[in-house]
Amino acid sequence: MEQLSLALTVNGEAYQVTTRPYATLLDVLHDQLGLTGTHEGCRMGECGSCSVLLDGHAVNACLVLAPDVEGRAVTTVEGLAENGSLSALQAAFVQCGALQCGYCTSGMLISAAAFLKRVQETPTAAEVRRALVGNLCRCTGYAKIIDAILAVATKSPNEMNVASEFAARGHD
Amino acid sequence: MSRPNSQHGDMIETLIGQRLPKRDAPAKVTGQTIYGHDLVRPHMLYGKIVRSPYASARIVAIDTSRAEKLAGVRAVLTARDAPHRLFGYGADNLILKGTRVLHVGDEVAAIAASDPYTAQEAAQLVRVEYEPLPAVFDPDDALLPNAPLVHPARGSNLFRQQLYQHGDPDAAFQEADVIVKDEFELPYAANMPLEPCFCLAEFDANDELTLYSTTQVPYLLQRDLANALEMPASHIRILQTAIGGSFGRGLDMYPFEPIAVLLAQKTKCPVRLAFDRREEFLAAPIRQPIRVKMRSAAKRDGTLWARDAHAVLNIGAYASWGTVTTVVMAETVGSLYRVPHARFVADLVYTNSPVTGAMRGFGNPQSTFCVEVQMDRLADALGMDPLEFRLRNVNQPNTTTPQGLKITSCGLQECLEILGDIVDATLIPRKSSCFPQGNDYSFEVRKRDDLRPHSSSLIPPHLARGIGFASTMNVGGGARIYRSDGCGAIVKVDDFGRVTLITGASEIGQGADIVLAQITAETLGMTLDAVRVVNGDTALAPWDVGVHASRTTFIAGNAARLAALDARKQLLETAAEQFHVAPEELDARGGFIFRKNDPTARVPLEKIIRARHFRPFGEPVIGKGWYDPPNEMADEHLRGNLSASYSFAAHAVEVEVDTETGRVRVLRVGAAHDVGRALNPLLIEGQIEGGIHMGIGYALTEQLRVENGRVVNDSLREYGIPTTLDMPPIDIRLVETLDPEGPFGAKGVGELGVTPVAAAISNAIYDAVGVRITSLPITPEKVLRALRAKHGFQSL
Amino acid sequence: MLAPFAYFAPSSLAEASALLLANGPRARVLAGGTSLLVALERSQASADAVINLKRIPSLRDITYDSHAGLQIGALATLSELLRSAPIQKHYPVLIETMGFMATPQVQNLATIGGNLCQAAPAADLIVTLLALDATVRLYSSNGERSLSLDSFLPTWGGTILQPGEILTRIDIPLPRGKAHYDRFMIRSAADVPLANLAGVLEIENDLITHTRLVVGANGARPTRMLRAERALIGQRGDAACIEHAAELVVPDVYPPDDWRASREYRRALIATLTRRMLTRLVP
Repeated sequence: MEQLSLALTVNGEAYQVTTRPYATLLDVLHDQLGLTGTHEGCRMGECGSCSVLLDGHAVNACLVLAPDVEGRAVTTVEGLAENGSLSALQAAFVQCGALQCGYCTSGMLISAAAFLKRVQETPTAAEVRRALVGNLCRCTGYAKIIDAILAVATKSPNEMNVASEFAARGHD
Repeated sequence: MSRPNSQHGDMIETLIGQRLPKRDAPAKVTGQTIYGHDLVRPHMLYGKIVRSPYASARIVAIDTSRAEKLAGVRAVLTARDAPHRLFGYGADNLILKGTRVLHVGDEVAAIAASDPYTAQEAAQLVRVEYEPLPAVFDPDDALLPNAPLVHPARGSNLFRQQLYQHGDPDAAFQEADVIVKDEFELPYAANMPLEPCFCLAEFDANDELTLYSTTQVPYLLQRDLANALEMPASHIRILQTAIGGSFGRGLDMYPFEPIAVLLAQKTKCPVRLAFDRREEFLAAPIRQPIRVKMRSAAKRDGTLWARDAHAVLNIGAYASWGTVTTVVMAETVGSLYRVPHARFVADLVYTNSPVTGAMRGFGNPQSTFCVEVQMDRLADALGMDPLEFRLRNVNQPNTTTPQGLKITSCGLQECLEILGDIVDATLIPRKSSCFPQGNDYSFEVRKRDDLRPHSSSLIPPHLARGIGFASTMNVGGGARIYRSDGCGAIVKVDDFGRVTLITGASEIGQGADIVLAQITAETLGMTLDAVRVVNGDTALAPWDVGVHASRTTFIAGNAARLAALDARKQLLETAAEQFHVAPEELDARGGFIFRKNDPTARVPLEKIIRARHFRPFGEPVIGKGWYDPPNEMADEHLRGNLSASYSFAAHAVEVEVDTETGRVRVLRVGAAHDVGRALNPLLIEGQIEGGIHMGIGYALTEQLRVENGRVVNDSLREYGIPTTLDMPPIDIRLVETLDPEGPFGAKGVGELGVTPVAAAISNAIYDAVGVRITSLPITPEKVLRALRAKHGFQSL
Repeated sequence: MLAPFAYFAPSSLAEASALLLANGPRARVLAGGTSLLVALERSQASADAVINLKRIPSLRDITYDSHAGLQIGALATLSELLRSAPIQKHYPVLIETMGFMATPQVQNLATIGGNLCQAAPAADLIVTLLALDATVRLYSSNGERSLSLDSFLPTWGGTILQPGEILTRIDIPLPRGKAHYDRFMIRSAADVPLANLAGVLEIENDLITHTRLVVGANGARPTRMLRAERALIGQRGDAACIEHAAELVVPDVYPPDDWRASREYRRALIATLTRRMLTRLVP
């Protein structure tokens, strides 16, 4: 089978891999580089579980053919932590209960990270939802995922938009 | 909200009721968690199954020669390489089929190869010659006299008929004042976890098997594998990988699992068998489609009087644990609300259709849809408010239903009343739920209208809004569908105060790890940080029947509590010696043991542990607990107290109907849940929100289209689970009724988020535009046709 | 998993065209990959050779001038188009259209050229570009040619691309009047469309002087509703003429009849959407 040699940067580190032209970026990351945080959910760009940043833009790794990654920079979920500790976004996901089984979480974080980099001002819940429309989840109903992203997106707690989303929770 | 484990002098707050994140969350948000699909074992081979493209055919010949010759292929198996013992709940399935295939996707051959490309290519090189045979797809057709038999040896396509009755329904309908009749159509639905099916079989040097699996029933899988493969169960170890969702899919053993074992045996290498999404659509089990003919009756004064339902279930080609869904359906028909007369007849029918299994709710989404739409119809016929009619007939605590369900704690009335408040209230206070510890944000009370996109006067004329209600009940304290409904636990405390809970319970994402840690720490008197939960290994952990029926918190929680009590007793015993008091005079909290009447005199628990261990005739602290709930199996008439406790909930849904296109949007959901005790509200909300997502999908957007036994829409986009933009705001209220049997009063929650949603939506549509849709999913076309018919227009 | 194929990454159109011809009918062009890889994964297509166009320079440019209008390189991604200032300013209907398409991740990869050549019967961009009277530019070893998008898409579906021919550019004339796009799905996003349409309406001195009405999910390719358009020209754009136009559309559309929705329903839906679209387009 035909092989090809690829040079790419993943999470700031340079890699040289030998792969096949019909492998996808998902195959390279998950199977060859052992970065298993990027998950296979459908191989058809419909679930978003394999989302990664390619030169800063969120893409489905299963839809990128390996040769197209030559010389490019990829960020995976493993590259989101800041100086060895959880990023604010990752910490918010943990604290807000934004994951249950966690299989879609890597993709959610990537899409959220890309979105948060793009937004100029505090986003609305609807904007967050639209940014994550390419990430499917079967466990959470998305509610706490949106909570977590909004919690990070707000500049200060007083500007929090979560209230516009829903009424009281968990009366106590 | 109290902060967990903070110690302000002697004030150590309880862990019960804390919004605590899951323990596995940090690993999951950093991508470190190894799911089955991520697992790599040395010398691992890749398995691939060759499946039948026909729904019914005779296998004439199988030629594996070309596949065998392909470089990199290490094994090609067919039926003659597999044991011929029938397995499965119906004892009707074979690991590999050699003579007949009974559904599209039936397993005919299996490959193990050195890489997935070779495995895929080899699978395509296996040549199978089929002779198509007559097939039957519709259960009504399957019950006709000359229908082709799916399993000829059984003589009939009727797998089982179940009959339940209490009271005298026929007489009751004669004397009723109001009767409603409907035919309901419930569709196929797919569990659709984000991680497709997986297993990896590996034999060690002693010829003992380890199966890495996404199963929900590790101990049953151990037994089923042993039976199907004719190997000793004692040589089988099931290791659960981190599971990317299950929702009932992992409740049975399916052929791909013993196939992986056979491939591993043949090649003497570990063999990974992982589905991709297409194979998941083709071969993973799905929810039973059901047709129900039902009538309900009431007295003029608003007393619910009778129900009579006949359900025909299409179970597919092989019978799984999913056939037990009729027991759950009987519960709804016989026991949701006080109904003096009820009959439920269920026909479970084989067809050459895809295999059905267990899916969240397990018959309850289907039965609740029927029951709750008819409750609404009765209320309408009586001219009663739908909430009022439900409240009038509500189940009460400490009552036994005619079916034999011993309802102890029951908060259905409170749930319905709360919904009334949500719907009528103008002021809804709100508290944030997700900031890091130490932050707590409250907001000014906000008017309800703020939550609506427009006020009523601004809604365009072609849009109509309505509100619908539905209640639900579900087993909340296990469900004895197997000879044991128990769970074992061991609490091991080491010399440094580290507590390990070893539990048979499974973590499938629902948060068992944190809740069980909370229960253990609270009971033992340790800090939460000191507790770790270990599970997922049948060789190590005590037995548990598995994750299903929303049982984990209740049963595994009680087992953990009992084991922790045992350990606590040992600790207090030794501490009593140290303090020179009786054990009853001591208490343990937050990692310390102290005298009740002088809390300042305290000793760290770990000191007591070491004192107990390192002395002549000393021993470490090991607590054990086994909890098998006081429930019973349903008899052949579906009577019996199936669960040790029952959970209740009620939902209100507001919809907007576009009367010109029929499109339905869910604007808001209010969900009131009787959870017994909210051990961890963060997790409970997550379960409810996820359940509502599945319920909205079932009601409106999901459709698994099977034509002539073949799944036609085998992609996520075409199947249609709700996206972020399809989910409305959800208002959750938790009711605590403090169940007498549940750990700290808690009951199960996992399935009740799903079960009432479809009925609430259908009832809301009726409230909005006056049409009742009794088949799911409620598509725009169904609504538009109903609207046109109602208003006397010609059909479209 | 994708079945193995030979892979090429030509650096010029001439090279790409020659490779296509040399590798025969089972050669496929790779643009964004969002259609091709999915089709290969689902075994709805197969490829012996894949020819990646993304190394060819100058196929992604987006230029606008106030005389010629918009010129879009075939390999411009949907995200690049969404971010383009001239498109946002002068062709907001394109932004509106792409807002319905796929997901953010797919938008970052999918190209306009790939979308057009895939020629799905309900392709959102095709519906809108037809309403904007777009033309396409094709390259082959015999030279280049331009033709209307309408001519590019034969009535039986697919495209008229000849072997070795490559779509390089899409040209859109200066916009006239107001334009909108709509797509009806059961879910709110990322869903199979049951009906979609684009409309253009130009009104001068209270009378309709120019109109386009294109309906997708309507047979093998989106089509213009010529009878409805003719009935609108010269009218005032009042409710009566809108109703009349919507009625004229119904017999002229041939939407699918399948388990998702019947033809009858889709026709009723298209009529409703047409009425709503025209109402939006009238000031």
